[in-house]
Amino acid sequence: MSKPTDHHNRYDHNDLLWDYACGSLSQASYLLVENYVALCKDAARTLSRFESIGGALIEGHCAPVAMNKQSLDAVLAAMNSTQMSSELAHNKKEPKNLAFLNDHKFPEPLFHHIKQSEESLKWKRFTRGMSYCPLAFEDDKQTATLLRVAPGMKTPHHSHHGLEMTLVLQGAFEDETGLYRAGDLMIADDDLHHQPVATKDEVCLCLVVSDAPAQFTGRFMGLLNFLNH
Amino acid sequence: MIILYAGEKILLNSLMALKQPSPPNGPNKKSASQTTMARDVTFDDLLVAVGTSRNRDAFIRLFEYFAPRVKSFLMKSGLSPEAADEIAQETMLTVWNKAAGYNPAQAAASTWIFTIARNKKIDLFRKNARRTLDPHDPHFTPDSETPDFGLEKAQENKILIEAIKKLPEEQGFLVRKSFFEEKTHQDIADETGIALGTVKSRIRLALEKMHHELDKKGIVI
Repeated sequence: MSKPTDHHNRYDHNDLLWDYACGSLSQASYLLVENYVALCKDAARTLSRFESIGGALIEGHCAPVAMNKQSLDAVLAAMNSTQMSSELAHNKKEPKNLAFLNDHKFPEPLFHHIKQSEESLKWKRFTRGMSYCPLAFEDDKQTATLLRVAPGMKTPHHSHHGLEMTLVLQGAFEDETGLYRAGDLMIADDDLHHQPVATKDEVCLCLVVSDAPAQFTGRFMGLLNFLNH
Repeated sequence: MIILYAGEKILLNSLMALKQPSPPNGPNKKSASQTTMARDVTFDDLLVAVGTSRNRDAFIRLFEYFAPRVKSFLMKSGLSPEAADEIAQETMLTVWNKAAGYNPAQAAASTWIFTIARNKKIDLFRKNARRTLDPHDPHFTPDSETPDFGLEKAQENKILIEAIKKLPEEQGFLVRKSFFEEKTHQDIADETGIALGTVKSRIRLALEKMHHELDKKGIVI
């Protein structure tokens, strides 16, 4: 991930969507973006603009390389036998976390991700009114954590070492930079030192992605590092 | 769009005559007959025909055009010709299986196929570690919304192809590198020695130029 050094280079929402379009994100960020575009129409529109560049590149900028002679026949043969595969795939696994899932209004991609996970989710208590739940991925480039904050509760004062992206799934929180509601994504970097507070009316549920817990040296650390130590 | 496909016979006739799909001649679609007569069949039409009526001829047309280009796209990111052929086959099989979820108001056929190929590529690079995306990729879910776009995505796509050709090489190079080699701005900066800020601003300029080309044609995005 980029390590922004000044305001001009700062990693922003468009960069994240661009990286998704190009296919260069970690699994954690990939999941974040899927949920972001599921919740935010503007983000979905920007992403489809970027992806249309990928389409134009394939259609008009990739010199065709002849397929093997038998490839079309192989696909035509497979078409006859796999028509129902999507429906089958859909029902093949039993949800393991239904009670948990029903507690919250998760966007579809996150719901799907949790259902497909090999391990059940385990909420861990951090402080009174604040719990978190790490999500597992194959790659370890970044971490993703679900964060649940009771109405009106303050999270610890923290700054960031590297990138921290917080997508609000439900409820809202407020910090020195403004109010973030469901579907809003906050991208914080080294410069931001803040104390998010959940708004009083509802539980705030967030998906937080950050650069893998790093060798931080300063007095402050990112929220996830805070939780994981 | 639906009305266009009411006349399946007309569409099939067009399919038979099809040599090279091309964009619609004009932006105004007043009636089904006028629309069908006024323009050639696009890739979007073919994909809709696959989705709505499991039209194998339409699928073969799509395969013949896109499979070799998807293969080329995959080879650019370092796959062997054999692996690229295999993933291109898988991509086209997914096109067949998921075509019912394709919405031409949302994306050009090539964009939709690109997202499938990209996801297959990511899956391969992650050695199938990542969950399969299929049922929940936004591109596979029909969008019930009224389209925001006055013109068809197919036309926008043609303009984009030309706009990319017109980019100054220093910008086009970065756009291609981003998509073909799935590189972040930082990856590119590290690899090429171009400053991160320069990478960002060149890609931003490229995006503005592409917008401008679409804008000139009256496409608001």
